Amino acid sequence: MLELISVNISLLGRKIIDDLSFNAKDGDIIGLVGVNGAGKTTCIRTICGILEPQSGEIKIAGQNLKDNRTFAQKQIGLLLEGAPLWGDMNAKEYLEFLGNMHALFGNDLKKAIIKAVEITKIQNIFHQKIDTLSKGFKRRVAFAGAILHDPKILILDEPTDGLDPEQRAQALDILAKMGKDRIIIFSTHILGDIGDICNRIIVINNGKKIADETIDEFKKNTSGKLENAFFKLTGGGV
Amino acid sequence: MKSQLYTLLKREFKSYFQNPIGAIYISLYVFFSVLIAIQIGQLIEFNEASLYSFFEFQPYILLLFVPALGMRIWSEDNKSGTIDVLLSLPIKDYQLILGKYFASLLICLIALIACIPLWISINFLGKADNFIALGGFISCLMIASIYLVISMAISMVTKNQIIAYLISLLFGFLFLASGMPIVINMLDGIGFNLGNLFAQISLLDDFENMIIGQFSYSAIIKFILIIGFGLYINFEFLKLKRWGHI
Repeated sequence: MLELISVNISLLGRKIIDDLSFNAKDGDIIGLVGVNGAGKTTCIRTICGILEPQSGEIKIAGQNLKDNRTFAQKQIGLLLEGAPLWGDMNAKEYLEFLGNMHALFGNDLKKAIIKAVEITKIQNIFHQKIDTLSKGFKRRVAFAGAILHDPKILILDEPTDGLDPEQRAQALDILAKMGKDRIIIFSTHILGDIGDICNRIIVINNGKKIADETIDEFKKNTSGKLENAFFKLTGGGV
Repeated sequence: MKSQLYTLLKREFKSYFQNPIGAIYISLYVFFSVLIAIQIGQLIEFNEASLYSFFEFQPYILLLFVPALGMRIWSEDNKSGTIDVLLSLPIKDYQLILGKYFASLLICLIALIACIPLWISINFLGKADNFIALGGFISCLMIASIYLVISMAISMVTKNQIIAYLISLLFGFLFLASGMPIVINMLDGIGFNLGNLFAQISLLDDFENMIIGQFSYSAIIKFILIIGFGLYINFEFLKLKRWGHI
C-alpha cells in the first residue's frame, strides 16, 4: 500500500534523506525513530507530498506520488509536529474546511465530523476558537482533522509530545484501535510510546535507515530494552 | 460539487473578517482615497462631474494598500506552520494559488465598491460619463491585481510580513516608476534603449489613458499578461517550496 524506493532529499544543499526505502501494508503500526535532526520529519513531509524528493519514488495504493499527488494525499491523514492550526477558526470550521478539501460535503461531512469528534472527545470545545484552546485540545483538533476522511494511511509526527500521562494513554489507545485496518506511521523520540503500540520499528540516523524490524526482533539482542537497542544502533546513550 | 479552489477561497476570504483587519483595511482605503481626491486632487474645486481626481492617485494609494493585503497571504502560513497543512491537502498547486489570489482580489473589489457612493455623488453634480468611471474602476482593479500577485510571490519566500510588505512596495514602485519621464531619461542615458524598454512595461501611461476613457486592447492584454506572469511566478515559487529550496 505504501512504498518508498530509494528516496533522496537534500534541503539547502544538505542531504537529509539518504536512499531511504521501505514498504508498509495495512495493519502495520510503524514507529519511526531517530535522534533529533535524523530526518524523521522530512521523511514524513515527503510521504505526505509536502516535499518532493530529488530522486526515488513513493507509491501510495499503487500510484506514484509524483504523478498523482492529490490522489495520494486523499489516502493520507497527517498530524504535524506542534499541530499547526488556523487560530482564527473554531474546531467546527477547521473540520469543515478539511472535510471539503477531501471532497466531503453534506451528510457525509456531518457523519465524518461526528465520528472524529467522538473519537477525539472535543465536543465541549467544538465551537471554541482554536487560539483559545490548550495545547492538548489543539492537538486533539488537529488529530480529528487527520482522521476525518478515514484515511488508509495515518501519519503522526510526535503525537504525544506535550501531552499529560492521561492524554498520552488515551491517544495511544485510539491509535492502537485505528491501526488494525490501516497503516500508521508514528514518529517519536519517546521510545516508550513505540513499545506500547507499534508492531514495527524503523530507525533513521543521518537520513539513512539503519534498522527496520518488528519490535520483538529489535529488542531480542539487547536484554529486551528498546533504549539499549536504540543506543546500540545510533551510537548514543549515557 | 464545490471545488477545493472554492473551499480555499471561502476560507481565505472569511479570514479577513474573523478579526477587524478586513473592515479596518477597507475603511482606511476608502477614507484616504476620498481624502486625497478632495484635498490634493481638488475634486470639489474643479466642479466637474468627473472622477479623474479620484483615479489619478490610485496607482500610488493602491501601491501602499495592496501589499498590506498581500504580505500575509503566504507569510502568515509560513510563520504558523499551516503552510504544511495546506501543502498536504489534496489540492492542486494552481488551485492553491488561485484560491488565495481571488480571495484577496475580492477584498480589493469590495474596497473599490465601497467608493461607489463617491461615483453616485458625482452624478448629482452634473452629467458624468459613467462609462469612463466604470473603466476607471476596472483599471484600478487591474493595477491592484498586479500589486497583489507581486506581494503574494514575495510573501511566499519569507515568514516576516514587514519584509514582504517593504519588498512588495519596492517592486510595485519599480513597475510604476519605470514610466516616469525622469526615470526614462535616466535610463536612456545609460544606452541600449533601456528607457524605451522600461517604458513599455510601465503601468502608468496605460493607466492614465484608461482613466480618461482611452482604452486599448494592447493595454488590457499587457495588464492581463503581467497578472498571468505574476501568478506563474507564484506557481514556480511554490514548486521551489516543494523542492525545499525556499
